[in-house]
Amino acid sequence: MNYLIVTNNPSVKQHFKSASYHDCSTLDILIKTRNLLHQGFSLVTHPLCANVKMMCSPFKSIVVAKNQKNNEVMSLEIIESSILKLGKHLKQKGLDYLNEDDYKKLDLWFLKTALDELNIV
Amino acid sequence: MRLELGKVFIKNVEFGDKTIVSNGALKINKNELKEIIKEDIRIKDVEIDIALPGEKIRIIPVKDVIEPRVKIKGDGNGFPGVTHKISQVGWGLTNALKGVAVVTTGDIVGIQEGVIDMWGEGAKYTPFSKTNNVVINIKPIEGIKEHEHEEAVRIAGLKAATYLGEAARQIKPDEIDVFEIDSIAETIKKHHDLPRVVYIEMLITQGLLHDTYIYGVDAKQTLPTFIHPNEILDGAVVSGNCVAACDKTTTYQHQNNTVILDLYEKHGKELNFLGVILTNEKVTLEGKIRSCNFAANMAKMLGAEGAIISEEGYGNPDTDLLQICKKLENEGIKTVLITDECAGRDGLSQSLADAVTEAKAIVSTGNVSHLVKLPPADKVIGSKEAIRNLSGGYDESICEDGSIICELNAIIGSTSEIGYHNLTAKMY
Repeated sequence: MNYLIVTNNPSVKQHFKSASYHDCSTLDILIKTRNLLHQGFSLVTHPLCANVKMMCSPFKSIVVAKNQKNNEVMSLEIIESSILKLGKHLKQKGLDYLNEDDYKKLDLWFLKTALDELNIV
Repeated sequence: MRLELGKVFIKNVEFGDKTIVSNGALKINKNELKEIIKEDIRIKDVEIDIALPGEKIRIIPVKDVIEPRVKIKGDGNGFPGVTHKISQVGWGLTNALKGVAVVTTGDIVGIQEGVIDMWGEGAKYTPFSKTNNVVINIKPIEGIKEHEHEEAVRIAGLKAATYLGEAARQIKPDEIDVFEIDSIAETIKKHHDLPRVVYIEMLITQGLLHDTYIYGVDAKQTLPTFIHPNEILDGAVVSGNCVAACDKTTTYQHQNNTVILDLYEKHGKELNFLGVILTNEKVTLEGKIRSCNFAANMAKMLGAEGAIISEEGYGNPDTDLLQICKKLENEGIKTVLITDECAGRDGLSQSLADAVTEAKAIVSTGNVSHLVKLPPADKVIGSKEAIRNLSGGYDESICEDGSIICELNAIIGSTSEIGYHNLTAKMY
C-alpha cells in the first residue's frame, strides 16, 4: 500500500524525508487531506487527537493511503466532521504556541504509534 | 468469582514515626515512603505532602490518583504485572483505605494535566477534593526521556498506594462489600427472566501520555478483551494517560468504576450483568474498525441484549464510541452511551466530533467547555508555572488577584465518562 504522511510538523519532516510537508495551519492540513481523499486516497489515521488540549496543537500529521477502498465513505465522513469540529474549536480557543516543542514531540509520537501498528517503521 | 472489599474508613492523614492506621487516622512515615519511591534510579528526589479537604491547597499538575489497598486473601497484591508479579486479582479479600488517595504530580511536558482544589469553587467539581490526599511530587534525573519519566511517575504512585495500603493489613474493616458474578452459563440459568447487559469500557491507548495498561500490558497492543468486573475493581487496570484532565479515567476511578458498581447494584434485580469488555482507542482507522468489530461481536456472542459503553477522552475516540454503538444497534442490542460534551462555552455547539443515527440513548457527564473561576490558593503543591498551561486554560486564565478562569477541562475528573464525578442534572 502507498502511504503518504501529510504534515506541518518540522520534526516529522526531519524523521520522514518522504513526508508531504506544508508550512501551513493544522486546519489547512485537514483541508489538504480532504482534497487528497477526493483524489483516491483514504484516511489511515484519524485527523483528531484523543483530547481537547491537543486540538490547540499547532502541528498535525495525518497518514493517508491509496487504494484502500473499504474506508472511502468513512474517511470522507470523518474528515468533513473533523474540519468542522477543529474549525469551531480554533475560532474559540486558538492555537497554543507556548508549548510548541511538546506538541511537535507528541504529534511525532502519535504518528510513530500509527506506523508501528502498520508495521511500516 | 467473589471479591470482598473491606472498607477501612479514614478520617485524617498525618505524618508520624510509623505508617499505621489507628482510630480512623492514617499516620505516614514520610522518610520510609520516600526511600521506597527513590528505589527507582530514574527518580532524583521526591517531595511528599498531605492535602486535606477544606484546606486552601491547589494540586497541579495532577498525573494520576490511586486508592491505597492491600490484598488480605486471594492471589497477588498491588497492581499485578506492574508493581507485583503477575497474578489474577478479583477474588478473595482486599482492604481499602477509604477516604485516602495518592495523587502524583510533577512536570513531564509543558502541556499539563489538570488541577485539584481542596476548597471553594474548584472543590465542587472534583471528587478528589473530598479525599485525604497524599501528594507525591517527583523530580526525575537529568536528561530523562518523556516516556521514561511518565513511567517512573506512574509506578511511583502505584508503589506509594501499595505501601500505604499495607497499613490496612491488620485492620478489621468497618464495612465489607461483596461482588460476585457466576459464569455466563450459570448466571443466564439463574437470571433467565432478566435482560442480559454487558459493559464496554473504552480506554485511551494512543501513545506518549495517552496510554492505559491491563495487568501491565499496554492496551494499545491488545485486541478487545472480556474481563470479570471484579478484576477491574481489584487493580487490573492502570491509567497511564496524563493530558485530558476532566475526562481521563484515573486508576482510582478504575478501582471504583461507577458503571460497574451501579450494574452490580441492579444485577439479579433489574438486569443480568454479564461482565466487561475492555476495548482500546486506536489511532488508525483500520485499528478502530478492528477493535469496534471485536467489541461488538464479543457482546453479540455473549448473548447481550443491552450494552452500556463509556468513552475515555474526546475527539477521535468519538468515532470508536459511535461505531461500536452502530454495530450493536444493528444487531438488535440496545445501547446506551456515556460521554461528556465539548459543546462550546455557550453549550450550543455539536457535542461530539462524530454522529450516527443509531446513537439514540446518550448519558452526558457534562460540558467540558463550561467556564469556572477558581480563587487563589494559600499553597500550591506541584508546579505553579503549570497553571498557564492548563488544559482548558488560556492566555488570560490568570487574573490580577491570582484567581484562575478556566474550563472544566482543567479539573481532574470533573466530567468523568464513567460517572465517577460530582456533576448532575436537574429536572425543572
